[in-house]
This record gives sequence, C-alpha cells and structure tokens, in this order.
Amino acid sequence: MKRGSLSIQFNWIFILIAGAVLFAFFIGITMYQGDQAKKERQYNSLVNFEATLSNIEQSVTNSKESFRTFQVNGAEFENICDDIISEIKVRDSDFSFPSTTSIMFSKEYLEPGSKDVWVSNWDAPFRVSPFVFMDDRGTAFIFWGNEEYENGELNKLNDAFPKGFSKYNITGPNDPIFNNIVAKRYVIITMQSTISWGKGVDGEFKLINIIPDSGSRFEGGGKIDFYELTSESQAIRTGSSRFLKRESVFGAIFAENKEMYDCNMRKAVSRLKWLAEFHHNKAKELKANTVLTDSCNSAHYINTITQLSSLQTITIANMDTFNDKTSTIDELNADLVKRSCPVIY
Amino acid sequence: MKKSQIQLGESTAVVIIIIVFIFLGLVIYFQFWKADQTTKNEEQREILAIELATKVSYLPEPHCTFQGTASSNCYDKIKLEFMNASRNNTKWRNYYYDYFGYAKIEMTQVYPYEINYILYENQKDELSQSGQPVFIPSRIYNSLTDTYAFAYLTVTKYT
Amino acid sequence: MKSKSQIEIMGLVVIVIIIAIGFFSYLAFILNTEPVEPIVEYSQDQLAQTFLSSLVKTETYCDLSFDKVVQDCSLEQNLVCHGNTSCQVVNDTIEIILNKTLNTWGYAYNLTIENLNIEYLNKNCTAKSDRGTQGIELITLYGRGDVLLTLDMCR
Repeated sequence: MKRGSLSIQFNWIFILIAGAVLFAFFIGITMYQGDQAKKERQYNSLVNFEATLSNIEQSVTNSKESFRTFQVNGAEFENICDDIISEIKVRDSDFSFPSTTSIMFSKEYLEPGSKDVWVSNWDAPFRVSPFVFMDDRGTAFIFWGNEEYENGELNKLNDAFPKGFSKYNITGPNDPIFNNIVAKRYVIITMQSTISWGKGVDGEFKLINIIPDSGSRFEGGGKIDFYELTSESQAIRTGSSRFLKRESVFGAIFAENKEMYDCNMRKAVSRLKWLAEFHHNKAKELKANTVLTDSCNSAHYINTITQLSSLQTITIANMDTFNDKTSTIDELNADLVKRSCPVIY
Repeated sequence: MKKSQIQLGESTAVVIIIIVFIFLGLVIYFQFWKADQTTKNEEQREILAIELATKVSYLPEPHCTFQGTASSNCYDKIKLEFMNASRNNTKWRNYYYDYFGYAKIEMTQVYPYEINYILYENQKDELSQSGQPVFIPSRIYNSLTDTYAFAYLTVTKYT
Repeated sequence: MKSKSQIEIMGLVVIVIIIAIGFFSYLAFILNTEPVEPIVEYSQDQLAQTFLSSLVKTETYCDLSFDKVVQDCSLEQNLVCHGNTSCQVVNDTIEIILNKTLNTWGYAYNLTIENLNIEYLNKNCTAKSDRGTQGIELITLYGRGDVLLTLDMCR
C-alpha cells in the first residue's frame, strides 16, 4: 500500500473513533438530562402532594369535615406506615416526606389519576387530629344489609359518607344491583354477626364487617373484621381490630388492610394520650385557680381530672372500651359551659 | 522566524486568549451564581418559616377551643403556660420535633402587660442559621377572667 | 485591510466583543430581576386582618374590651377611666400596641378608624402607595351604624 492511501485509511479510522466518542458523549448527555428531568418531575409531584395533603388537613381547622377531588400527577406514591417508619414515598425513588404527624387511610400504592379525599376530625372527645381518607375516584362503596337492625345503622353509616363517593345498597351478593356495578375497586361494608358471602368475585374486592360493642353503635366503640373475597366464593378473614368513634370506622373502610389501619390508629391513639395529658394539666390548673361560686367551683373539675387521667391508658387494643369515658368527659365539659365555668376544651 | 511559525504562534495566542476570557467569564458567573444561591437559601428558609407558622395555627394544643371548635388566632393562657414550662423537657422536644423540626416558636403578649411564652425551641447546634422570623398578631384568652390580651406569635426556622 | 493578519486580528476582536456583550447582557438581566420576599408578601396579605381581629377583642386598662371602648367613644362618651375619656383610651391602646408591633417590625402601614377620625401612618403609607390586602373590622353601634376600622400594609 502506498503511504498516502494508508494515511487516508488511518484518517478515516480516526474520524470514526472520534465521531463515535462524540456521539456517545452526546447520547450520554441526553440520557442524563432525561433522567434528571424524570427526577425533577417526581420531586415536583412529591412537593405538590405534600402541599395538597397539608392544605387538606388544615381545611378542617374550623369545621368538622370536608370533601374534595384532586389529581395525582407525575408519579406513583407509596403510603408507608409501619413500626419503623411512616412516610409518603415516590415509588422506585429516594424521594419521600415523613408522614409521622399525618393520619391517612388509603391504598398502599397511589397511582396517578383522580383521587377522592375526605377529611374528618377525630374528636375523642376533644379535637385530636384530622383523619384523611383517600381512594381512587370510581371506587364502589357497597353497603350490604338487610331489613333488620343492622340496616338502620348501616343506613346511618351510608348517610355519613359524602355524596361525592359512588355508593350502593345491596341486600346480598345475588342482588341484581351488585351484578351491575362496574368499578376499578369494590369495598363492601356490612354490620352482621356472621359473614356468609357465597359468590365468586373477580377483581379488587375488600369486605369490612363492623360489630359495635353491646349497647353501642358505629359512632361508639366495637370490633372491625377485615375480609378478602376470592373467586372460590369464600370470604377469608384476614384480621380484626377495634374502633373508637365513627372516624376510625371510616379509616378501616379506606385503609388498604388491617396493618395500615392499626398503624394509623396507633399514631392517632398516641396523639390522643398526649392531648389527654395536656387537658389533664389544664383541668388541674383550673381546679386550683377557679374562683369559688355556687355554680362554679373546684369540685366541678375533680371528675374530669379523673377521667382524663384514665384516658391516658388507652391503646389500640382496648380503645373501644373508652367510648363511655369520652362521652362522660364531653358531658362534664358541657356542664361547665352551662355553669359559665372555664371549660377544659 | 519563518512565516509558518508566526502563523502557528498567532493561532496559539488566539486560542490562549479565548480560553483566558472564557475562564474569567466562568469565575465571574460562578460568583454571581453563589450570591443567587445564598438568596435562594434565604428565600427557602422564609418559605419554611411561613409553612411552620401555618402548622402552628392549626394545632389544637395552644389554641382556645369553645366546645371543641378551635378559634383562629386565639391562644389559651393556661395552655401557653404549660407549654412554656414543658419546653425544656426532652420528651416534649422529641414529640414536637416531628411537627416543627429545628425552630423557635414564641408568643409575646404586649397589651395590657408584657409577658413572653416560649412554646418550642430546638436548635440543631450553635452554628444553625436562623431566617427572618414570621410575626402573626394573635390574642391570648384568659379563661379564668374571660378576657383577651393582644399578642403576637413569632416563628423562626433554623437550618 | 491590507494584510491577512490585520483581518484575522479584526476577527478576533469581533469575537471578544460579541462574547463580552453577551455576558454583560446576561448579567444585566440577572441583576435586574427583583427578588421574591416570601415573608414580606405573607405579611402584607395576612397580617392586616389578623392584627385588627386581635385588636378589637383586647381588654383595655379600663377592664372593658377595645370594641366597647370604641362604642362609647363613638356615642355617649360617658366612660371615664383613670382620668381619661374613652377616646383617649382608644388612642392610648392603639399607640402602645403599634409601638410594640408594627413600628418595631418596621412595616409601613395606615390604620384608620373612620367614625372617630383616627389615623396612624408609618413610613408614608398613603392612598397612592402600593398596598397589600386590606384588613377590615366593623364595630356595631347597635342600630346607630357601625365603626369601620381599616389597616393597609404598604409594600
């Protein structure tokens, strides 16, 4: 080969290598930018979600409850609540924010799309915390009841749900209404002493059975059984928990499973104990300093102090037994109002 | 010198001068970027302080409540006294750290007489920087005398 | 241009000038952008209303709330408290509170009580100034009209 032609070949090789390196460089830059853009989108989605959750919780500062629909965009979220950690995380990423002070009952994974959010204050008996209930728009809430006692209570539970949710009433699994319901997810709510389902189902189904304590109602205290429905017509009980006040019943309906319900109720009960101690101290202070009159004196605070003291022993395992105590504290406080005495809360 | 050597020297000088200019430009740009970042950090601290002030506004603990309903911008004197007395308690600080992080929250009554309550104080270390505080006028309710005093809440975020 | 080298030097000078113009234009753009001040914006939007709503319920040194003293000042002016009339009490209360709050914080404001011809200004905050959201409180005179309190925070 002549020296000139060899030189030309080497030139081409050099150009190819240089070109490949430049090409790889630019492709690398593009991929890096794409990755950065994805991370930025995830981060912005997380910031928006946190701000929305904060706004939702604050919306009930001066009212009992509120309902709204909002859009989750840009990322799928994970609602993590267990003994070690409580956070809202962007799935498959490191972005998260702590939700230690938020009590949110929802599915474990929150895909992008429309979400219905209902927030209601848990008053036990004083303001403890807002409970946030979140589910996909289009989830069917099916109230399964018959004409007996349960149906009366079940209707009240149905009425307590905001109109924005898709609600249905059925008498049983063979009710034609049930066969015609088309939804992404089905939550069946009932109040029966025993569960006999007997119909195979296909799809995402969950069943909650609410059993108020004797003499109590769903607004009081009792037990909740969680069930899974299978294609083999079975209703398998996956766990049991206790409830106190109606907001915890709603929590069980919206929570993905018993574990999420228990974890959130542990946070709520921990907060209740903290506030019970707070109000206990206020009551002691009022007892010591209230100017004595016929209608208002320190004796009117003694019973409240005792009740608040015992409220500090509440746990998620025994919370249903505290329904009467919370009602008593509420009555005592109302009595203070009637007497024009300084109130506890 | 040969013509080609002059040519080469000229090309090299041009390249060197351009590199020097680009380098100088980058240095100046970096200085301005650094100043901009400092401003952004300060802005971020202020935003966090406002978010924190909003959080304090909806916690039921220090607020006046009438039959369970919290009254906005109204704080209960007895509850404030309790919070002030508890603020150095480790259990107290750890509990509210989840809500407030590193911050200082105080209530200053200015009329009819002056008194100061520190509701929460948690500084990471002596080197923490504090942003501009947020002031929120409020009133303090004394349930024993059924009267209100003029006060303001000061929220300072540490980073 | 006679020689090639002169042309080349001209080219180099043009490049340098273009780079310099571009860079300084960018700097000018950056420096002219007004910084956002979140706390100042928050204060101007929220503070006026919260200030007034806290003021009207405040207990004065007459053992009466501020709104009651304003009512007396607007109507009969029967109240005498530690040698002061109700209108003097209104002025004293506002002055003390303003000195310990808005004046200390350095805010520009304009506080007026229309029926009583009371006006407090700080840092030239007039009707022509750029203002945030106005705070308003009404104190009823029980069928004889209302007393209007307004507070404007100037930017």
